[in-house]
Amino acid sequence: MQNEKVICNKFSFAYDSNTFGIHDIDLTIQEGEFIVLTGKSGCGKTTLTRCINGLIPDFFEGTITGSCRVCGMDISEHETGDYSSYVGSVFQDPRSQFFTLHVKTEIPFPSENLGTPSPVIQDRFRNTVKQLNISNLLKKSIFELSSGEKQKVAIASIYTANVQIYVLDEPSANLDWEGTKQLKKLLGQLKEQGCTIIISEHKLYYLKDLADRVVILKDGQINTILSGNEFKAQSTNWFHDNGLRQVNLKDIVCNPASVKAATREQVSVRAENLSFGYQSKQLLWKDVSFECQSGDIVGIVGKNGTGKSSLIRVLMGLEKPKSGKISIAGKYASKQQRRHKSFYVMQDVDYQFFAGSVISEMVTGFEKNPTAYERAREILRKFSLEGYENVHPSTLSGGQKQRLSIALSCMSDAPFLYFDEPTSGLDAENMKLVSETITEQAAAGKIAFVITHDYEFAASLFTSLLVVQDDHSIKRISPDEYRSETLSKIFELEE
Amino acid sequence: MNFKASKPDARILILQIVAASILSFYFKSQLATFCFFLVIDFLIFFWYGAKVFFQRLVAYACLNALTWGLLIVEIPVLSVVLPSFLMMIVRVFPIYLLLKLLMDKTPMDELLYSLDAIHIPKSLSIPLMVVYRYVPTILQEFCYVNESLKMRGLNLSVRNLKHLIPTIENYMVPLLFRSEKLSEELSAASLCKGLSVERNRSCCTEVKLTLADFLYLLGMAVVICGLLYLDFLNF
Repeated sequence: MQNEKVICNKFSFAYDSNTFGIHDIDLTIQEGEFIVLTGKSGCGKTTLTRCINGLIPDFFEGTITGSCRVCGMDISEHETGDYSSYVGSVFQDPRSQFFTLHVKTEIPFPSENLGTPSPVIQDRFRNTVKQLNISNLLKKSIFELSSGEKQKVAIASIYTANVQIYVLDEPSANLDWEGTKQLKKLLGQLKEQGCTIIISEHKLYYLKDLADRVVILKDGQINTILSGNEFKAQSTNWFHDNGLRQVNLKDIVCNPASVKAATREQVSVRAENLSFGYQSKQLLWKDVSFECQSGDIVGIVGKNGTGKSSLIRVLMGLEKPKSGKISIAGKYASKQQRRHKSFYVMQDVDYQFFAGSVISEMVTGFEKNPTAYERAREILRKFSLEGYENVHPSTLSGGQKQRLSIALSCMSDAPFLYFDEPTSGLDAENMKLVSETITEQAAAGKIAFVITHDYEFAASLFTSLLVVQDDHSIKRISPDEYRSETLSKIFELEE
Repeated sequence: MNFKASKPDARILILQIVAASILSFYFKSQLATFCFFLVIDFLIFFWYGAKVFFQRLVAYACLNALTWGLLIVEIPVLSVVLPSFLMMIVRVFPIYLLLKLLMDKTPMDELLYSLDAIHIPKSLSIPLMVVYRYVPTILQEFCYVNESLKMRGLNLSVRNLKHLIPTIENYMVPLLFRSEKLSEELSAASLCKGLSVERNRSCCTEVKLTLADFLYLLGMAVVICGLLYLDFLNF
C-alpha cells in the first residue's frame, strides 16, 4: 500500500458554482508512474488534478462523495498546504505561477515556505541546478525567460522542494516546439529518477514515449485507461473518433490548403523592405518583403522570441516599422488605415471582450439594427453559441470564449485577419472548428495571418508561410513554393 | 554558487524608510529639505548610476518649480488646490525613492523573512508582496486591453471622448475579469507552493545583521544628525 500515491474510490466532486465536475472516478496511481490525463475540453482533467494537489475541496469548494487519498491523506480532511511537501504543481499560465521576480529566488520559494533549513535548501538548490542543467537561467529575471524556460523554472522549484508527486496542468500550452522538446527531456529525466508524474494535456505527441498509462476522460468520468504502448499503437482514426490530438505527427498528412477566394472583392497587401526592433535594441528582423493576395492563409512560424508577434503587430498597424512601407491594394497604408482593415484574435481572448453580453459583443462597433443582430445570431449559431446571447462573455468556458473570438472575426468586415496562437489549449474538435473557420474566411476573399506552434493545426491550414529565422531575416514561402514537406522540416519532426 | 544575503539588510533599509518618512515631514528649513533629498539621490546614484540620479534630481526640481510657479502666478482654482498637493508630493518623493530601492535591491524571499523577523504579521506582509509583484503584470494587462480596444476603434482617443464613460467601462471590464482570474491562479499556485500565514518560513540565503549593516546604520545616524542641525540653524 506504501507505493500507492493516489487512490480514488468511487470519487465524485461537484463545484458549488454548479460548474461541471467529475464523478465515479476509480483510479490508483503507483509510485513512479507517469500518468497522462486527456480528453475533450471540459471533460474534468483539470478538476482531477485539483483534487490531487489538494486545491479541491479547500480552495475550490464543492460536494465530495466517495474518497480520494493522496499520499495517504484523504482530501476531504486536509488543507491544500498539507500536500505542499508531497505534491508539486505546474500550471498552464507561467505568468501567474511565479511569486518572486527572479529565477534565483523562485527556485527555493516552495522549500522556504515549508520552513526547510537553509543549508538543506542550498544543497538541494545546487543539486537541482546540476540535475536539470539550468545554471544559465540563474541570473535571469522571470520576465526575461522564454515560455519553455519558465516551465523549466516552475519544475525546478518543486524539484528543489523534494516533492513525491508532480502534477502538471497543460504545461505545453504556451510552448513552441523547441520549448516542448525541452519539457519532454525534463519530464524524461524526472521519470528516470522515479518521480510520480501526473500530467493533464491536449497535445499528446511529446508524451507518447513517456506515458505508462493514459487516462481518457469523458463528461467527467473515466472513459478508457490504456497502457502507454496500447495508446501509441492506436490508429490516426481512433484519435480522430475520440476527439483527441494525434500522437504521431509524422502520420499527419501535411496538406497545403488550396483556397479559392471569392471573386467579389480582391485585396492584397505588400510589404517592402520592412525592418523592426524595439527601442534601443537591435533589429528583430530586417529587409522583409512579400506580397499576399485574397484567399491566402499565411502561417507565421519560428522560435519563441524571434519576432513573430511583432511582425503581425507591424502589419496590422499597432507598431511602426523602423524602415520600409506597407501597401494595401497598391496604395501606401498608414498605421491607422491598416488598423481599420484588420481584425486581431489574441492568444488570450479574455482581453477581447468588453460588452455586457455575447450578443452586444458581436454588434459592438456596428450600427445596431435588426440586420446586424440577425447576422450576429446566425454566426453564433454556427459556433454553437446560440442560447448564450445574453450571457456575459467572461463567464463562458475557455473553449466557448475561443469560439466567440473567432465568431467576432467572422462578424468583422476587415479583409485582414490576424490570429496569434488560436489553438493554444484547445482540444481536437475546437482546433478543427478554428481551422475550418479560417479557411472559410479566406475563401470569402480575406487574407489570414496565423502564428502557431501547433503542427497538427498548421498541417492542413496554410497556403503559404513566413518563416521568422534566427538570423533576423524572414523567409517568404509563397503559395507556389509551399510543399507538404516544407512544414515538417521547419517543425523539425523526429524520425 | 553564492548564497550570501543582500546588503544592507532589509531591516536596515526598512528602518531607513521609517526615519526618512518622519524627517521628510519634520524639516522646516528649505535647505535641510533639499539636502535630505540630495542625500537620498546620492544613494540612488550609488545603486542605479548617474542617469537615474539626474533624472530624479530634475523631477524633484520640476516639482518644486511648479509649486513655486503656481504660488507666484495666480491661476484661479489651480493656485489654490495644486500647491498643497504638490508640496505633499515633494515630501513623499524621497520616501518613494527609498521604497523603490528596498524593493529593487532586496530579493523577495529575504524581504519576507526580514519582515517576519521584525514581527510584521504575515497577513499584512504577504498581500504587500503580492501587490508589489503584480504591479508590472497589471501594467502589462492594461497594455494588452488597450491594444485590443485600439484594434476595434474603442480605445481612449479624441474621437471617443464624447463616449467617455463607456470607454472607461471598456477598459475596466476586461481588466477586472483578468485581475480576478490572475488573483485566483496566483492564490492557487501560492497555496500549492506552501505559502501560509500559519507556517514559519525559512530563507535560502543567510539573512543576518553583520558589521557592515551596523556601520551603515552608524553612517545613517551621522547624516540624520547633520540634517537635523541644518534644520535647527533654519536657513
